[in-house]
Amino acid sequence: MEILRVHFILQRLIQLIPVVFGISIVSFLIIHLIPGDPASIMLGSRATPENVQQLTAQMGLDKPLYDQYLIFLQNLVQGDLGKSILLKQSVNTLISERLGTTFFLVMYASVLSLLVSIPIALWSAMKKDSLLDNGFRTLSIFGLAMPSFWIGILLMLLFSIKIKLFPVSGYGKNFIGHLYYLFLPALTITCSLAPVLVRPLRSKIINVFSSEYIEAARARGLKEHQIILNHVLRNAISGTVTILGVNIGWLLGGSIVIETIFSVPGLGQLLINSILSRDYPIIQGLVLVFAILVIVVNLLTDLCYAWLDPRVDLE
Amino acid sequence: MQPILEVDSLKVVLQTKQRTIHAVNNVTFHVRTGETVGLVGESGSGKSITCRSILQLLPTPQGKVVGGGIRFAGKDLLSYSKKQMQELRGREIGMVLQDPMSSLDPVYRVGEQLVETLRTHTKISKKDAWQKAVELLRLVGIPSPEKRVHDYPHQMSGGMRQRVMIALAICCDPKLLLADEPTTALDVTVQDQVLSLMKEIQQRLGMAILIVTHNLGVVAEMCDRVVVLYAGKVMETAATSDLFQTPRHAYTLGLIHSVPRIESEEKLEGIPGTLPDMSHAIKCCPFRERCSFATSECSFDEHTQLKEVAPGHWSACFHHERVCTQA
Amino acid sequence: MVCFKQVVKKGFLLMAALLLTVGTVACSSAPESSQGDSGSTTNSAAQPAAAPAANAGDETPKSGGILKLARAQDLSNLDPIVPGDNMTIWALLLMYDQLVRVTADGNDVEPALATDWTISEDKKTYVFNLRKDVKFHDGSVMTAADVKFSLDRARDEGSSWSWIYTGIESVEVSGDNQVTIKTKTPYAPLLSSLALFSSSIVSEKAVKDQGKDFLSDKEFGTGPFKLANWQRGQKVELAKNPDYWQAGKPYLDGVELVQVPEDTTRLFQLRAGDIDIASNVPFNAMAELQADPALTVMTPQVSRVDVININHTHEPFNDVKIRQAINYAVDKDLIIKTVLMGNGEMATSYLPKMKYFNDQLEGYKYDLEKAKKLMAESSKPQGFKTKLLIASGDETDRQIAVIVKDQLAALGIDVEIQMMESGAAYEAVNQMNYDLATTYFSTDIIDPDELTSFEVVSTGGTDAYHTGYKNPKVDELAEKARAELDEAKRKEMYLEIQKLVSEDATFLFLYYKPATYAVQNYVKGFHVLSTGNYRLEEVWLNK
Repeated sequence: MEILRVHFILQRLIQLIPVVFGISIVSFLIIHLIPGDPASIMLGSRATPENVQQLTAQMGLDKPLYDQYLIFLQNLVQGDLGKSILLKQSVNTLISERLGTTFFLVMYASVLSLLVSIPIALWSAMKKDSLLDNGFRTLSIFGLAMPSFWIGILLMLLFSIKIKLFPVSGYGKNFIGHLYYLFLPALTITCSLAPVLVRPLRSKIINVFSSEYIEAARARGLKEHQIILNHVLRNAISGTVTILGVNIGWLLGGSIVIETIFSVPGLGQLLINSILSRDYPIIQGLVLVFAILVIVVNLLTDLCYAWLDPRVDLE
Repeated sequence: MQPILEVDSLKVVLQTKQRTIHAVNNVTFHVRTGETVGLVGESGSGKSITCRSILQLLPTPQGKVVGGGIRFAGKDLLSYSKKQMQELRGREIGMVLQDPMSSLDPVYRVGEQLVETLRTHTKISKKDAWQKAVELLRLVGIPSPEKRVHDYPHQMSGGMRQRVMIALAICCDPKLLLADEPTTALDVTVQDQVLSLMKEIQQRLGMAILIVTHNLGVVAEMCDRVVVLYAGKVMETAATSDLFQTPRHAYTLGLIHSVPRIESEEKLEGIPGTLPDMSHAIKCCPFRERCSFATSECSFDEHTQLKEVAPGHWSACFHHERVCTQA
Repeated sequence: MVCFKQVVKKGFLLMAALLLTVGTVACSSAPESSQGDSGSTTNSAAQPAAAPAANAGDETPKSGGILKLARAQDLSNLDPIVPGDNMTIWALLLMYDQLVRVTADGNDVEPALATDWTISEDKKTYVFNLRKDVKFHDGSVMTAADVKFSLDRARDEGSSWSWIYTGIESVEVSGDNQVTIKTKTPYAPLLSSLALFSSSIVSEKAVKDQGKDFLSDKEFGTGPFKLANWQRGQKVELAKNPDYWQAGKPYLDGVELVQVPEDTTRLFQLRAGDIDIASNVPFNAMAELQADPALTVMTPQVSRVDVININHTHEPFNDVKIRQAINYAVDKDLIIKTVLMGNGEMATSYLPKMKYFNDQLEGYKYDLEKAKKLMAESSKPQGFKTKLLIASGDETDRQIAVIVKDQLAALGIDVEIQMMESGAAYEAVNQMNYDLATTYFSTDIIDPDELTSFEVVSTGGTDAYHTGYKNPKVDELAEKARAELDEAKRKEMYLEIQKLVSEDATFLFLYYKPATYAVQNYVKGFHVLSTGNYRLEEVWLNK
């Protein structure tokens, strides 16, 4: 059983290689095809053709495209994502400095969403069609409909200004600090993510609750709360994990907006600025990192799902 | 001696927004210690509901007991609180459900589920519980129990799963085992094995069994006594041999005749007609519309009460004498 | 049984009520006793004269304290010869000094690391005497060799700004504390270009020892503040330079430049007291901030002019009458009132308010009658269809575009608003692939030569900023002005150029808009120069 898993993991990781390769080509082409180049953007209204040409040469962008791509690939194989043409810093460093932050935020938001969604789904399922259930349903719709930046600013206004419970922005210095500073940002994401998780979980719980093995468990005299937590939830949760995993791409994208509002020094800012200034190496690096993240998270999701539901055959 | 289980004039309704169904209508029977009683009837007869109401496992919120009593070892089960019920289930009274394919939690190992039940009802260490689990699997005839105890349900066959269900039901040495169609979902060969297993365990543990079935063959093999239900009412109660040799209810006769026999070349005899409308509590004999013996007396309540027509043999049929001679 | 519909309706109403309440509580600002236009609000200064420091007062400066300034972006690269973004430039100017620096009123240069200088007869040789005992942040003394090294470095190939110094022929050490700079021809903008951030003086030894990339994330300057810590994406911490050559300054112990990309967040931080100064306050938030007695809103005039670029190579914009007509038809005051909330001034010249600005120009005040008359005389009296290119995501641009479209319709001109991502829009303009496009010009250098070359000189390399404008007289004057060191004569030339450009209606002139800052009242001495940067060594905290 365990050997299968290792084999499965290896297989998926090996599949990563051609995918990464493909993504690197596509993103390289797309980025370079977009109108606008970093030199003239940087020079602004001082951009005479000579200046632009000189700066372009300095940035190493005057070489033919395939040359540039080959250089990029060469570096990539050695694990080096290149050097930012505007910041003159290693892209590896730039990304790794911020990756942890974005990752923390996304994980925090996921955990918070689960912590919020599971009780709500459970409560709604147990009290199906009650006022509580319908109330949560309405709340869900609001959460889904309101744009996240508005929710973020509203929360900031309420809990950082009116009631000074949380800081307005920033990241904090240590783990506890991060938990404190990132609470509102994570909560903002949760407002949009929880509704997506609650609905199917609630359905699944209702479904599972009426299944035979739950009745059998009751007939064996297991305590009700034992049944709900150990058996009902445990069977219903696998779907939720999948949904979360599938949404990781969306989560990463959404974190950009949140990072901007709350001034969290994550990958979001880096991405936006590098796109606007056409800093190709950073954009390339980020696209690759995001792609790899999504693939790895999907792999983890599959593994998690298999762990939760032993009937699943990974091959 | 006091019977271990006494069901007395039990009335159960299933109430939805649209209508009410009187599923169990004045059912009375008992089960003695160490005895096997069969609760027989076709679908809709109320046999399953009766069985479930013993453990308060009626479908919520529709199912309600609206009359009568259920006593276990002299204690009034209908007055039991939720907590008392939870302690009773699995410990004093065990239950085996119908479909082994879906009666086990798919995400836990078989051993884990046994250990969980054991530790809920008894003070036993984890280590000891696991040991006991292995023993229980051995008891129910599962080969290599030390290995099998770590299996997930989907890794076992239907027959094996049913054995595990039985193990789960008896793991705390209950005094009474309720079996709701335990073999219906199994292959014929496996059915036999499971039934003999149950008999064996019964002898070992000295427990009573109430077996709900529509299969007369199971009844013939397993039961000491039989209770025949139709449309929520008891038609006939007797010792198994008496019931088969001298049935004293038109319905029972029909049932017996409808069982196909390999040797005979006769056409299959069914019972024409369907269940009556159960949205009212039926006062007379519910079978009269399908009955070839029926007369006008059968529409009256006073003529269709359950009475002892022979020693230990009760019938609700007005024409029990005629039925008996026709068998 | 309760009907499902009723329940949902109840639930919905409950939620709506709840959210409304929450929203109202959240959005109602603290009802401070609004004293009308509270205190010291410096509105957009009309004259390019000295914009006095708000809250200067007669109080004596106190030492100590850390100033927290929130800005939109992080720094990019600390090497003076690399970056082009304002955030980095303004931070660099706190850590480095140059030979000369811009005066407080933004009109001239004054001594900084150079105490005085002489210009030769042929106007091609400048001799600078350097200040003695200026120390780098590591304690080593600045020498003439460092100056030569820094300037040569800035002129060199590896510098992003080498093109600014093409007028320089050589930089030589000519004495213990003396440097001689020779220009190829008489070059009036030289002093101004020596005040630029790219002309910062760095330590030769440091760069030689540590390699050329050393300065990307470390600094080695002589400025009032040193780099204490740079937390990328979060903030830059600067510490006071105790050996600064201006004795007694800076007053502050340190500065924190905090990066807060979202406008609203910056304001929240200010109101919560987490920061002392918020940059780039949105115009529509100003009224609310002005009502807060603890805050002061500043609108310092900066060297920036907003225009709509006109592509003269696309018909009918080659017709001067049409260009003039559209200038008259657009009500700039209306735009300033609605888009800038009244903070701004109609633009009359292609130059922002800076040295040699022609304040005698009338400009094109809103006059629909005149506009119609001009249209009638033009090559397209019936009107025509055209496109206006704006950068997507820019709210101001969008508002302006809508107003312009509406107003030009009165002349029969059908304007289609085209939105493109900023980089793409930029490219389109560079390729002259547009009819009309929103643009602005700003400058770090106080000398008008650079802007003139870029904006209105056809041979300046950008085709008069991609308009295709060509006026030989303007070209000639610009060339002459570059070589003319006599201030009075130069001024005349630039005044003339501006007049010609105004008459030619090269652009659709829009407005001059100020920078916007909101400052806690206890911050004293904060002053924004017309080049956009601030001398934080002048700032002290009154608390």
